[in-house]
Amino acid sequence: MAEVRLEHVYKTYRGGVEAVIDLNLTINDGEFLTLLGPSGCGKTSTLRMIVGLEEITSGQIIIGNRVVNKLGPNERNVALAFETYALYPPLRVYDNIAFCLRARGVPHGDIDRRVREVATMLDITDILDRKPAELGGGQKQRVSLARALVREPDVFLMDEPLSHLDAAQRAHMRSELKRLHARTGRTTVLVTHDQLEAVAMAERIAVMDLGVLQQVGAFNDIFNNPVNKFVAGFIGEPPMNFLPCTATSKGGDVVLRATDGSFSVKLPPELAHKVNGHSSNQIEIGIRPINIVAAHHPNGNGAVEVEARVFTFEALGEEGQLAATVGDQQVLVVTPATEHFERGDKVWLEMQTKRLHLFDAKTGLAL
Amino acid sequence: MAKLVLEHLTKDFGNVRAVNDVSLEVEDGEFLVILGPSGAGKTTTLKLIAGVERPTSGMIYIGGKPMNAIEPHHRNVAMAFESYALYPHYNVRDNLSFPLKAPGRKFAQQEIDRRVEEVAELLNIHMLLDRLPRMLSNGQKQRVALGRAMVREPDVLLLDEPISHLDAKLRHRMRTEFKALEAAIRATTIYVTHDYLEAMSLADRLVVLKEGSIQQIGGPHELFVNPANVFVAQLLGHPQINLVECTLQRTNGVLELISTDGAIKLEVPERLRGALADGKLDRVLAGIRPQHLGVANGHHPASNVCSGTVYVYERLGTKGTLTASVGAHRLDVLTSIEESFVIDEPVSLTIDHTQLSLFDAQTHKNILFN
Repeated sequence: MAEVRLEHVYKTYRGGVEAVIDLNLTINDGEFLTLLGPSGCGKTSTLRMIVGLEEITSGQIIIGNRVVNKLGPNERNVALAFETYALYPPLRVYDNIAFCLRARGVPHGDIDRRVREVATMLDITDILDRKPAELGGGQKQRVSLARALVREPDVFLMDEPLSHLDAAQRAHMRSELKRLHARTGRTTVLVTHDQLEAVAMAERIAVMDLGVLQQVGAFNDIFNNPVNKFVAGFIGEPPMNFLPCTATSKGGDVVLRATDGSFSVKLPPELAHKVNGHSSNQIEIGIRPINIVAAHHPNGNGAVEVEARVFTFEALGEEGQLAATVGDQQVLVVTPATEHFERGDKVWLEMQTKRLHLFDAKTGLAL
Repeated sequence: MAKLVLEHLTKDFGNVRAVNDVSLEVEDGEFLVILGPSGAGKTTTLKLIAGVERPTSGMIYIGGKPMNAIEPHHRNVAMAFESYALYPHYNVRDNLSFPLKAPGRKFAQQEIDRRVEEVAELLNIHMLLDRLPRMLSNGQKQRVALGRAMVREPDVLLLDEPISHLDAKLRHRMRTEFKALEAAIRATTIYVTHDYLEAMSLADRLVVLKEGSIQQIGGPHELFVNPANVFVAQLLGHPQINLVECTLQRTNGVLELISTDGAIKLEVPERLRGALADGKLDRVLAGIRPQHLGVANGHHPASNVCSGTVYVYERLGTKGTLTASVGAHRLDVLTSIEESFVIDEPVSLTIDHTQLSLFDAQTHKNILFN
């Protein structure tokens, strides 16, 4: 088990494509970190550099206390489980798992003990004699994980490990992987493009976009204090609402007027000072659907609220979802199960000021 | 537009019964959703209504007229499928007018234009009439496919899983779009899906089908709160309703439920006591929705509380789901998305017993429906 440190890591492919740009990231010993981003963000390149399948253009990768830049994949003691299972079709499950131990000349008795141990952990003891072709998707996934884990690597890496499974198997594997991590305490890195999966699984999340690490932190940090509009919009389902506005200040008070003229709100002092200290007056309000309270009447009382009209309302059992029209835009609101709205109703959307985000419209950076 | 009536409708394929004694009245202009897993007989029911399949027994009436002997193209029923099936080399206008130009349908050009314009206006695709399908978004294709069914001004409109082939994110958007279109559809409509969120969102009334048989009919909220049996309870809601097998005990005049592993003790709420008063039932399944469980902090009353350990915790969408091991059970608990739990740590749960559903442990029927 070991800490993984990436220091000023760059990856530039031939032809000049910059896949990873100045990446600084520490994966703590024993933690479960998710590397999250849309396709092309550099997450898989990063993973491949840690494993040693890809050369590092510049910078350093340190695993444990060793700089591994020049070490081959087999010398790093890291294991990678792939999106595709890549099992050897003619070999039984047992032999698939034992394969790399035999290749390393591990004593026979040890091999058997380790294979059975990892098979018990992943609940595949009853299929050890089968061939891969006789297995379902979930079982293949487990065998693939077992094969990676049997090596007792310092670092365990997974590249989109669940994307081939159906929804029910995915949910099941998610819990299993988390419990597996809790039991082994192994440093684990999971790469995914699916924010739902990242949020469901990780202790910490590193969000990448266009080769650049945007933000790294625990779920609550990233969810509540996104550093920019990309992170804010990428994490969370349904996604955050954004409302472009123009700010005007008068004697310390700040009023945000919607760019389409549909509403204007006065900001409470704790938010006003952020806008006052900022150079541009083009601001976007960001507010999550779960942080808006929809009401049939205005609250008044100095709340940050805008008038809207119900476009659709769906009662979904545990909760309701309201799409409301504000000027040219639609704002999504998650409502308690007990509320009811009709299409065409006037509603007032009160935004919880503590959960209101402000972004510079040009740079996308949080104020 | 017309009322649709199915009477004791049954369809056998060889010795497999696909539809089993289905009786149903769909009011004129109603939007009815049929919900069920694959193989429940949903699509077969639609095919029987459309006339593509013949019933083994039972009757179909549209607008009061028996349909059994009437050919599909004389029924004035339109069906839209899962894939949009638009003609790629026809523009939107020609795709929409196609059903009106079919051989045997003699509509004047003027009438065709009127209907196409009207439907295009309703579905907000009038600015797309000259485009080819490949120039349309998924949402727009969806509306054209729907428009093509509507342009025939059918008495009955049948929609077979129209959005289920889309990925989760897009499906969510399309569901909202579809919800907005619902008001524009005036035909008596039957919408078939296996997705409970679509069903809850769109239905005036909801029919749950299992292995060809109707399990329950009612408003979506009614079915969610008062499911007729375990199957309906499990089909609606995510995470699924928790089921705990219990025995009934009367202690000091209070009716209590004790889980068979002894780990959970629940008070029987007022509204359910009547159904248990005759003392015939001694084993029930207690259905507890994950949102009616909470994490306890502070004092513990004697019942409606249980203790266990954290099995796993996940944040999904707008909520967190804590799965706790309690005795022999795994209970799902909905929490705020900002909670955190450590695997295998102890946890105490409170149960809002007033919201319980109770099912006969043998028949799986809701005790209130016996």
